[in-house]
Amino acid sequence: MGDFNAIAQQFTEFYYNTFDQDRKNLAALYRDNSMLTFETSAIQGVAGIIEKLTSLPFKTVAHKVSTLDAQPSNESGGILVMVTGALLVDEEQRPMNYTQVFQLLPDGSGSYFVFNDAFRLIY
Amino acid sequence: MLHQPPPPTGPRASGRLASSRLPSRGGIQKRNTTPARVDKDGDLVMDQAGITGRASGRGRGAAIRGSARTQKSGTSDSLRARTSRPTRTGIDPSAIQKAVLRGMGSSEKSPRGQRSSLRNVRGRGSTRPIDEAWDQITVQGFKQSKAAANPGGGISELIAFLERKATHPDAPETVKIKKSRLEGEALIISVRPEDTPKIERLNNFQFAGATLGIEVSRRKISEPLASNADSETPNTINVLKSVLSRRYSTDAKLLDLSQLGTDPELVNIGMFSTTSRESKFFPALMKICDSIFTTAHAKEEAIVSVSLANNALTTIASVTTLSQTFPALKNLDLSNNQLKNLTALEGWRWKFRKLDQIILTGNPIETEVPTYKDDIVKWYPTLTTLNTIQIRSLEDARAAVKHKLPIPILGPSFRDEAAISETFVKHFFPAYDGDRTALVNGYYDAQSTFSISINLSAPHIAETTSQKPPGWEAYLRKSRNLTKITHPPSRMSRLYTGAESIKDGLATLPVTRHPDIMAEPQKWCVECHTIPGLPDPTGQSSSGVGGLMVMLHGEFAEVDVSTGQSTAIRSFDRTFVLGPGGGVGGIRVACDTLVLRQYGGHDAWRPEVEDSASDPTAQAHHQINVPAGFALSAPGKTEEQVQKEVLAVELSKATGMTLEFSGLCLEQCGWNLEGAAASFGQAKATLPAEAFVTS
Repeated sequence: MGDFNAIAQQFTEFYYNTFDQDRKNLAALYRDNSMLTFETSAIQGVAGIIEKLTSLPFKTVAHKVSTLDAQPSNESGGILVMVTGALLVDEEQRPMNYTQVFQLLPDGSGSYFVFNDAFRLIY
Repeated sequence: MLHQPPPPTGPRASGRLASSRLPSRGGIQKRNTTPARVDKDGDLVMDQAGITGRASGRGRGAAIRGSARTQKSGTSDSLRARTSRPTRTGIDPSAIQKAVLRGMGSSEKSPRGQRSSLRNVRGRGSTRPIDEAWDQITVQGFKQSKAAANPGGGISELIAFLERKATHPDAPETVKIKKSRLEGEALIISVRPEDTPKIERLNNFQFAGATLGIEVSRRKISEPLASNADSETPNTINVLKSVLSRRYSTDAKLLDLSQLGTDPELVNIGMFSTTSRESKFFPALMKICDSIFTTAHAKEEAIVSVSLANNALTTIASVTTLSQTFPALKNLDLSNNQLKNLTALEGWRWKFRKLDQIILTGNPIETEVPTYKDDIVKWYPTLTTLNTIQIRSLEDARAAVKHKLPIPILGPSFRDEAAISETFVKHFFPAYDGDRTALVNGYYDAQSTFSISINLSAPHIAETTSQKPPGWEAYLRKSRNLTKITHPPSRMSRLYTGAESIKDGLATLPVTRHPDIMAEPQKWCVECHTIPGLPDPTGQSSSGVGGLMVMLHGEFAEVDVSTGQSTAIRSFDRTFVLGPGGGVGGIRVACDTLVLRQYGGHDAWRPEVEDSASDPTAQAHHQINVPAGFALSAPGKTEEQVQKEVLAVELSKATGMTLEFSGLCLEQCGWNLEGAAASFGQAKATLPAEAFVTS
């Protein structure tokens, strides 16, 4: 189970790169049973999640990960990923801090999908 | 070191450099005050142009300079005349200057420090003797030439022409024009003295169909440079200081820099006679301001407002240093200038982070960019007054600063099942602060995982004291921040798996005290979601069991066990995955990730209130001394009475009124709390002082 750290790290990099470039492409990471909690709005299903993410009121965004921690969350290979970091949106100069928790589950074909995604701004 | 030029690599090299730059220089000639010009033309320092009089006959400023002082011998006389001028109007500038220095909170300033700082602003003075050796020649008439229509105004062609014509075919060395600069219709060139006659010969030559007028500005090369610097620098400084003191109002804390162009004292020393002097003037003025104040705080205290009205500014480029010298400025008057658009103000975007008021009336921007106000409000989030009209209250502005997040802050999303998370959180943290071993025994099992990481880059509340923020020594060796810890064995050794390992890990962390979540709920942000499909440790359910994910944000104090005193306060984010199990309340902690960061307060999750003013409960709660037994049921007291007392306490907390007045107010409103709060809002100003609790 040693590689969950690497998976978590790869995932985080991929997730935020995709988010910062074109967040529509995050659709590949979610499934129809995936859940997103963005602040208080809770959404289930890939379509709703992408709609939520693309409707966020900013055009450009850059994430900077400050801490990343991962733990195996179940015996079937789930991974709990906790990220804290900062994001810069549009022309805003002050970074906003956030915490984001993912639960990644294996999709059976050797890769992972985001089962839970809970995002919250902390400053 | 503001305008120190790069050291010349030799007369020839710099000559080529100067002429190679010319086209671009011609291209920007209209803008007059670009900062780049200051550097390029830094050799034409204020004092030289002024005192030595060598600039006489140089373009449009010649007459003023000539009358101010044409000869070295006349310097002291004209200086005296100048300083005495304000006296005639009944003002003694030196007294005012002393007063302003006092008023600005400055006691003794080293004159040497000021002098040297100004010298830096001025440029080279005695530091570049090579410049002193150059003659300046005014070339006129080329604007009428055909070449003037060329890109760059034909300047490069003119320079090449002059160099070519001045060089004798048999001469061993070619004539080089060291520097050149445009002043109105004239081009001022600098050459070596031995080349001066050769250039002078070209007077009345035909250049591309125009007759050139060439005039040499005679100067006293023999003048000792040291005395020049010593006599002139303090003079310029004194003039600028006198200007500052005359234009500073101690009471209003206002520095009135309006209509500088017609300031007699500045005009007298030819401050605006050439573009290069003009461009140096404001930075020099700011430099002096900087030298007057020892601390940023003193500056902030002394100068709250600056007026730059009526200065014909087309852009703030020439005065941009204001934002460096007075970053905490509250009021800025830019009225009646020539600012056309937001680009003209761009240099001050995001500057003046405390700006409260800005005046832009009388600028073309009003008609050319009708929407400019929206942008200005965005640029200066603390702004409350624009063009003397209040656009929002200070509270709203403050709120806007806080709420400038593009994603609104919402309240926590807490979707619990059967109060499992609620019970868990209420129980977990007191136990964590008390006996962690018992806690681990109660919630964690052999499959549980725990890890901790430290976020050192999170924003935090600025330290109010000089006390250093607490260090992270106790945590660093455990921090499992995967962006920092890359070595696989370290990563694994920092993940505590199983109750025994977690116990050991937690036992070595500093003793903590978390705020009571019931008493101080505002310090906590707890969110909870259900997550299906957790593995069932008993193996009974192959499809997994339902679990909960609990995310907490909050703070805790580190406690010195021996004294019971708090030694540090930190913020944390913590995520639990809870599942059914054999622990307290039939649950187990499957995962526990903890992130620590420097204390950041708890405003981050305070939901944005639409209109905090209309919601009395959103206002700061007032400290109310509630008599013992008040608002509590007691034998002989009716339930209605208890309810009324509870309402009175509520209203008092919200309004700061005494319990008696709160009771009266509520009685008038039929014991409706909201109605009472509203009528309080209306009557607040008319209430007597005794209606309020004295704080």
